[in-house]
Amino acid sequence: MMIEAKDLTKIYYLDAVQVQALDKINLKIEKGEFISVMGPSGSGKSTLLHLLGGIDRPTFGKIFINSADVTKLSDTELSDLRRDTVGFIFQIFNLIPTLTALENVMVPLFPRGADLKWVEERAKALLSMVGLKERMNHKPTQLSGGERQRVAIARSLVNQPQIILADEPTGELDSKTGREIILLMKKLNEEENVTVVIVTHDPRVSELTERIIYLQDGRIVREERSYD
Amino acid sequence: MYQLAFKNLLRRKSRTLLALLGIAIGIAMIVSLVSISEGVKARTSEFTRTLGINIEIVQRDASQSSSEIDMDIIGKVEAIPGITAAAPEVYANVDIKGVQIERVRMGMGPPRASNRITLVGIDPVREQMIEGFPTKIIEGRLFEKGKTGISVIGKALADATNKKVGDDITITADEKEYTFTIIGIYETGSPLQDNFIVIPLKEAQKIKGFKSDSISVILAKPASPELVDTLARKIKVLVSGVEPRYTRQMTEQISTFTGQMELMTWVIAGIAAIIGGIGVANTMLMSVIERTREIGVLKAVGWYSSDVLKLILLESLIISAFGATAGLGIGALFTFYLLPAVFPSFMRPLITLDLLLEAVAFALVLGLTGGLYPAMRAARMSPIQAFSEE
Ligand SMILES: Nc1ncnc2c1ncn2[C@@H]1O[C@H](COP(=O)(O)OP(=O)(O)OP(=O)(O)O)[C@@H](O)[C@H]1O
Ligand SMILES: [Mg+2]
Repeated sequence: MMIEAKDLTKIYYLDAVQVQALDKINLKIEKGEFISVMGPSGSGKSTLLHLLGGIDRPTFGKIFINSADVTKLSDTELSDLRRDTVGFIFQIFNLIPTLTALENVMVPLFPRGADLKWVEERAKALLSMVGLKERMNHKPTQLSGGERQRVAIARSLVNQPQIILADEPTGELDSKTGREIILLMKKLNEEENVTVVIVTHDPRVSELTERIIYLQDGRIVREERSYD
Repeated sequence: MYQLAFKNLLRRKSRTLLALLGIAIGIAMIVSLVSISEGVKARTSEFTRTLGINIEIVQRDASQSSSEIDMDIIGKVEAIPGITAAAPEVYANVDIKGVQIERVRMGMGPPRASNRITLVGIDPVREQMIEGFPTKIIEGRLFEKGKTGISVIGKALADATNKKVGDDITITADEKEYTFTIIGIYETGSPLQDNFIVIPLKEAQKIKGFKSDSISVILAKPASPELVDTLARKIKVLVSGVEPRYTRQMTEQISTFTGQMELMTWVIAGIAAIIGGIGVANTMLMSVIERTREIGVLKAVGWYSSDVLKLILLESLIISAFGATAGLGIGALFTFYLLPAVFPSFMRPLITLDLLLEAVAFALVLGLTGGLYPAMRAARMSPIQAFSEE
């Protein structure tokens, strides 16, 4: 077993108002699963993803990654987790605009001696894998939406993470490009046994995944598995 | 990390340039103002150093050339215990034929090249007892008592008039010409004294229109430098109508003056530099706020808060390092080219390596402190920002 959430609860306090974004979520994700999370806007999908990836801390409850309690980690240890274990792909193409595609892929390792030859080699290999061999020295503005999202995927893989968390990775793409991106992630999932969790509104995306988790008002209301 | 920092700064070139300029102007002001004040300080200390420890006795409220006192005061002064010798000097302003001498001046303003020089009459025997300035002979020799028509001149005057030992030098006073043979050249290091012409006392008295019992000043040599204060006070009490002046007193006045000038300089320059630092802080803060999402991304992909802190500080340091370099250039250009062009006789400014290093260090400290708040703010930003949709 890979990721486990126990009674995971997140409450946002806005002045006097409390927003319960997640309400006692219990969830197990096995290594190598390819999962999507669906649900109406405001149901807590993004919040769940942030908590699983160590980007935010829960109000109550626990998260275990490989049986280690993530909620007990310090800020620095959480940074280590994000760098070494988790790869994030964001809805909006969150690339650094001043850097080339290649540099963007290397960015997670910049503070840890990104000058190392192997980091560059790996970044190049990843860009080739996502089909951007010819675009390595392009800036994000010189790339199409789909290409940018591929760079983001390559970046999320630079540290050989065990988990990829993607928040609406196809939200800004046309359906054909979006499908290509999801298929690329599926290929990674199959070939490298990376666990993938995709948040999406799009049923054409979720139907490509093995398991769909439905959230509503911060609770898991339904799960579906496809056995193909 | 360096390339990222550089690229971030190049993103908003004009804004970066503005912050850089702020630092540059601050540093340029430090460099130029401080080097000018150092120049003035060096000049004045050169000045006082050569005056020696002798007490100069002049008519109260008079200058060397306007003073007139009785010769017999020498006896009274020499009688004071602690004074080992006293010597008379006569000071006159005369004109020198054929050459223009650039006058050494203490203030600002255009140079005054003129043919006016200072003539000093001395008693060679007494002058040697007090080790007065004309005894610092570097060529030839000092004249003997009783001789006439001879002189020793300062090195600077010799250079300016292009004269050597053995040449004649002609001066005019009250439309009468006097010629002296140069038998020696002295050098004290003081730009003032090194432009004097020194002749026998009697002849100087005649030129000045003094009777044989009148002189301009008396120089009294104390047994030791520590006695100067006490001896000066005694002279004041025992001899009426005169005023003892001595180097330490002058040095103190000058050093309070230069001290105040230096402090002022640093205050003005410091304010300018701090404004530069605020410029860096402002630029970096704007840049950090603008990049909230990017910083969120960096944190989301595993950068430590301390990595983000380092990145922003690095950017501020780059701004201030380039600013400092530009500032040093501008400052040097200003002090060495622009200033002399406007005020040609301005005190020779003095740029020391220490000053340059201090200015650069100051700029870097400014950059660091200016960048600190924006950097801390950036470091505290949450990785969730990476996901927010504005
Ligand atoms: N930083 C925050 N402060 C306060 N409330 C928040 C914050 N982030 C999310 N929320 C609230 O928590 C709830 C869940 O938000 P979340 O972003 O997880 O929903 P979502 O399912 O991802 O929605 P969408 O499909 O629109 O992205 C919402 O009601 C939202 O308003
Ligand atoms: Mg969301």
